[in-house]
Amino acid sequence: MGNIVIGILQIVIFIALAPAIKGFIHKIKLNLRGQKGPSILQPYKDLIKLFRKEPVISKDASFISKIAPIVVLLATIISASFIPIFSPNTLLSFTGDVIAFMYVLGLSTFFIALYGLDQGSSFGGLGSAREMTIASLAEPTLMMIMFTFSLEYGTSNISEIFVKAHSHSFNVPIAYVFSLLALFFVSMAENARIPFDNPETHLELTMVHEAMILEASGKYLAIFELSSYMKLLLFISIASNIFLPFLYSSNMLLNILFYIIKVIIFSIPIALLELSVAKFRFFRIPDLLMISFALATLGFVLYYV
Amino acid sequence: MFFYKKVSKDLWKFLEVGFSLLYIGIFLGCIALFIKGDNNTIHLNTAIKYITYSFYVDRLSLFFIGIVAFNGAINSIYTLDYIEEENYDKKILIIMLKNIFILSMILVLLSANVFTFLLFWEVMSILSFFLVLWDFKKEENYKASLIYIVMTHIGTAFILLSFVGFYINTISLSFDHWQNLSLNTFWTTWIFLFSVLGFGMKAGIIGLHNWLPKAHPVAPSFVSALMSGLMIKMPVYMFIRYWFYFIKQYPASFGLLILTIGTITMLFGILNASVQNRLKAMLAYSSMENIGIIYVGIGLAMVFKSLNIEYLYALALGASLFHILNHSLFKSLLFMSAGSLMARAHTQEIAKLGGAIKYAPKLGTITLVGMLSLVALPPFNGFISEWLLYQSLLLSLKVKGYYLWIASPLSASFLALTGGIAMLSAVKYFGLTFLGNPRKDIKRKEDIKTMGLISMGILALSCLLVGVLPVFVLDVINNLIPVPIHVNGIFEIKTPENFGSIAPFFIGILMVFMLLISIYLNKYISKHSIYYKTWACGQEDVPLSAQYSPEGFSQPIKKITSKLYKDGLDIFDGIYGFIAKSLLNKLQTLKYKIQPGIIHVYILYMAITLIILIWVSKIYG
Repeated sequence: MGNIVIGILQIVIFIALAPAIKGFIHKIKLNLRGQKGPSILQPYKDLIKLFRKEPVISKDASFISKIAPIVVLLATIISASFIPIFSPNTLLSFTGDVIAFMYVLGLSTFFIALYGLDQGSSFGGLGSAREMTIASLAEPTLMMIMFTFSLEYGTSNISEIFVKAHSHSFNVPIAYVFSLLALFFVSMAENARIPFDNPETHLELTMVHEAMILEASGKYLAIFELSSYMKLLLFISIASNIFLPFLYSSNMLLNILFYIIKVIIFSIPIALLELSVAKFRFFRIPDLLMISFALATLGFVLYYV
Repeated sequence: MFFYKKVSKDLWKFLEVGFSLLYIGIFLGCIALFIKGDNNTIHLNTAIKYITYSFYVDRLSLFFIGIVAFNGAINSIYTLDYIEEENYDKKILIIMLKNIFILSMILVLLSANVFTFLLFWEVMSILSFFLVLWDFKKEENYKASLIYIVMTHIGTAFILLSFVGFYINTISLSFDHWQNLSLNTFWTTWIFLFSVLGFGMKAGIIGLHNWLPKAHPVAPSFVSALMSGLMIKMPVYMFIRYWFYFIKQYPASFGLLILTIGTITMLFGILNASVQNRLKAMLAYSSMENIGIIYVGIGLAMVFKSLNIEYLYALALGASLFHILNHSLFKSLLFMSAGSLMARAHTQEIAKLGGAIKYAPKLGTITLVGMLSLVALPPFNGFISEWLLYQSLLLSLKVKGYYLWIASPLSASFLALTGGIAMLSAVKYFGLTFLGNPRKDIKRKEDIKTMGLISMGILALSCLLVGVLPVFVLDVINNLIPVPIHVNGIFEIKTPENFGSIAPFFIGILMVFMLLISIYLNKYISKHSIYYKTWACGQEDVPLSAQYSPEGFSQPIKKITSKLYKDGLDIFDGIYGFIAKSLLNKLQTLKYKIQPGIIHVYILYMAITLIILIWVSKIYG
């Protein structure tokens, strides 16, 4: 029973933290640019505002438009309940397989892409096509990173990986560095951030993620926004818990605190990268993903030498 | 008299229902025999001395026959509606062709000697050729069926050569005597080479797949469903027989080669599927992808078998067998739904379709289920088999053998890439045909009828049930593999050494819960929502054809992998076209050398023939 409570607590903290991290990254970016910017809590205010408004649904839309936002949100929540945040006792630790995690997350990608096509708008189609291309090319890297971890820890269960990561020391530290770099690239691609996509624009030329949810408004937009915040935090949590497995104590509160610190540490590089590079041309994205695949493969191969 | 007329008009329906009942009977018989688990051989002698019909029943063949019979029964139900919608002229003919085709597949699976096998294999090939040629007035169908019949016979020739290998070593044509053979290197390689070529031709592995994406789109849809869902599994069945039942020892490199072939096949298949702009062409290439996935499992199992690691061999083969079942379910479903859509829109060009979910919501939902199974998303069936396959690839790292340490991560990465591009294709297929607005006016805007709904509904439901409760399927598959895949109650599947575990039942429950919540929430949200037209930069009256096009959708992936296509076509078509052309040119020049059109040469030929004839008659006369 206690485990279930911990599991639910993890999800709640996760959902509650997600908008703040998005606000935090935005704040760092603006501060470094010399702008004042909105407070870290702005995403919460946005979400509350959007949740209050009624949605405008396209006349051409089918029931997919109504189901997709909620499926996307719930798939993201389910995949979040695979991931240990500060304790290995996640809600789904008994079935917490990395591959299952990847495919449940895939469910949200699938439905968001269908949402883009549902209203018969050409912007939506554009976004869906690009998003699916980027997402599919990012898959092999994720798989290769998983192989590295499974080789290291001898299991494909995320909770067990978490436990073993905190109890073992690194066998091949250099492999971790390469995998971390690869994961960094992939999470930028999966979360539609610079250099793959610009989350702050609505221009046709740069649209990927925003184009798909262009028709969403009100409550549906809030749901999409919340799930994209959560997806970002999901990848940051994986990175922070697997690559920085320190400071794990028996005190729950301390763990939560450390988790937040770790997440903050890992979100700074995202802000820095977004400041220092421009968005890439779409057909250079495969090159970037190829590099990340090469890095992941390198990390894997280093185990044998 | 009136009664007679009515009966003869509806005779095809009675026939179809009768066959459907027959398949259900066969299916139930399979279950009974499977539980009993006896191996029986039946020999039927004929008047000719060397010709004996032999049939062999064991659990492997029963597993496949069960799949064929189940799909056959569903297919017959579907056909009741489909034939009426398409209104073919010769209904009884097509039904007889189709049902004998299904029966011939069952008999191929039962065959226990070379003669029986080849006979029914040929019946199967030729009947499917006729069925592909059904709409013979179209140029495209004619060409496709010609390519199909030629390639399938080249395949049969290779199969025959592999039989020769067995015959020389055992001096027997009966499969009974071919069990657990230890052959020398030459003959093992011989059989391997020709079985890969022969069965690969029919299954559609890379380089030998050309007939597949041509024949499937032009055949009537229920025939495509049979060909793609069932027929291309027959060679896979024989391949499993060869390498897990007949031949005991072979080097691991054979398995590695199959693994490589499978990996390339699935990647090539899905990349081609993503750039196709016709419904059934996309599905056909996706069949090629799934054959690749099946071959990856078989290749891995062959490697483990030759290394004598039983628990991994069992896992990989189990994953393959599971995928065979899954593919037969969802691919039949998708071909049927494509057929129903084509019966409404009278075209399979995606560029002319769109918005079908509005006038056919049931068809749309069923297709969505098929698509979710195809891209292996939980809680549907495709996910379970791909998960098992990923697990066997991951577990292969435990084996000491450097080639596997390189091959299996790469294969798994490509499997992930394939999955990603399959998702892209599925979004393209479903999003552009069912969502949005119709790009062209469609006259028959109506949903599927009862029989279509029943047949496709059963398939969709079984996709879901197999995905949620795969444990029952694993109970069956566990009888076919040396070490059972560990199952915990009805909820959990575990892979060896506690490597990974998954509880599809709970994931399924969560998903159903999810769906219920979304329906409930939507009722609430819909009450307070406003309906307005789609935003199009403020433009009025945007033409329907201005929606995103299928070419545009796959343009990024096409540009990224541009080397794989030649003028938008499969690159192998170009290669074979080039080879055929240069070969014909060579033959042409040779012909002019033999027949130069000079009378002296012909007189010379006559003189030579005469001399030879006299010489021969001298010797023998």
